[in-house]
Amino acid sequence: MRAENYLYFANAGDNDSDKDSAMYPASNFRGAVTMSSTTVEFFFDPLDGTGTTANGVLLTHADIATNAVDGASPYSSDVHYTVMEKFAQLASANRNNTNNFTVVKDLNGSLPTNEGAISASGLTEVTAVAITTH
Amino acid sequence: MENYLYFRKNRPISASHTQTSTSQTQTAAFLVADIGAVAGNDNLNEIAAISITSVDGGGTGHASVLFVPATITPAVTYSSTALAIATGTTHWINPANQVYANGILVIDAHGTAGGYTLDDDDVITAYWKTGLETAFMYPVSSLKAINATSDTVTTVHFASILGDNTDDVVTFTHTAGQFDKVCKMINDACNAHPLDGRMIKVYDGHDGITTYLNENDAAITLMEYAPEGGAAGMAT
Repeated sequence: MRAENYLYFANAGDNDSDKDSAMYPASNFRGAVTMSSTTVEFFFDPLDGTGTTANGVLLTHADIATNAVDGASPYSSDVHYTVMEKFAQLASANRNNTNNFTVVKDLNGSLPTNEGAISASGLTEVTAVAITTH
Repeated sequence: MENYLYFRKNRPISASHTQTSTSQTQTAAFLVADIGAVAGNDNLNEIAAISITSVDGGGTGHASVLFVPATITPAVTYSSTALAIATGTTHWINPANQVYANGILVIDAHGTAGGYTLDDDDVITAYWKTGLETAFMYPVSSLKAINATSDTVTTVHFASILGDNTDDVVTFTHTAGQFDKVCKMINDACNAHPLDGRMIKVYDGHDGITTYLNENDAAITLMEYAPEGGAAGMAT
């Protein structure tokens, strides 16, 4: 047994289509980068082993700031930081005597009847999940 | 379990430029010291607000620039009526109506859809928010090396996220002779909290209140980020 966390992501699909959900060992995490003021992408080792393009999980959150045309402060929140920090906590949260199944975000709305619900839904700041595999 | 190293470029940040002519194109780019490298700094959607301050009452605004139409009833109808600009006043214009490339704004002139016709000495101020590749984190295990490329520049190399043949590089500009301080900063970040593993804020260029691990012993003045693939190159 390798005592590490396994990170689970699922979009709002029903786990019945390609890239509806994915799970990665925490040790396969390569890094995370903001892609816009509303998205952070988390990258993992690709499935095909070629190494030139990482697998990505793009997480959407509230806009860090909204455009201001009336002199109001354009600075709002650091929600991207919150998402990254919580991910880090989850990725490093492995402990002995647990199964280390770690839900980063699960947006499944109606799972198939033969599939039990996952007890945790993950980061509350995340509103959408898009999984890319290579 | 391991630590994760967090970096954020100078965002959010505001930067200003004073026009030296009546051109609608910014007469020089915003400063690298404020916003980082200007080459390829093209993401208009990362500019959350733009204001124009008139030094001498020159320039021509548009009546609509003072209002947010959606919040006014009845809705303001755009017209080409010029707005008298008072000396020292500041006017806000919609970033979405402007053009932005390589650190230079081209301001939409006043007209039927808003805008502002610039005058000599007008001060353009833009406000950037966190956007494409402006904040990032790496697991400590991805750290490959720290290299002094000059007495004022130190590069921190991480295994590429893309995983091809080029490292992802974080470049720090700092006071001469402070390479060892940058190394100590990275070392301390890597080895903090050895029993549980956390995200460690190494450099956070938040507007005016930049924070550093170790209280900026290296006197860092700028951080740049060059992932393999360049801007947007890693997007899947």
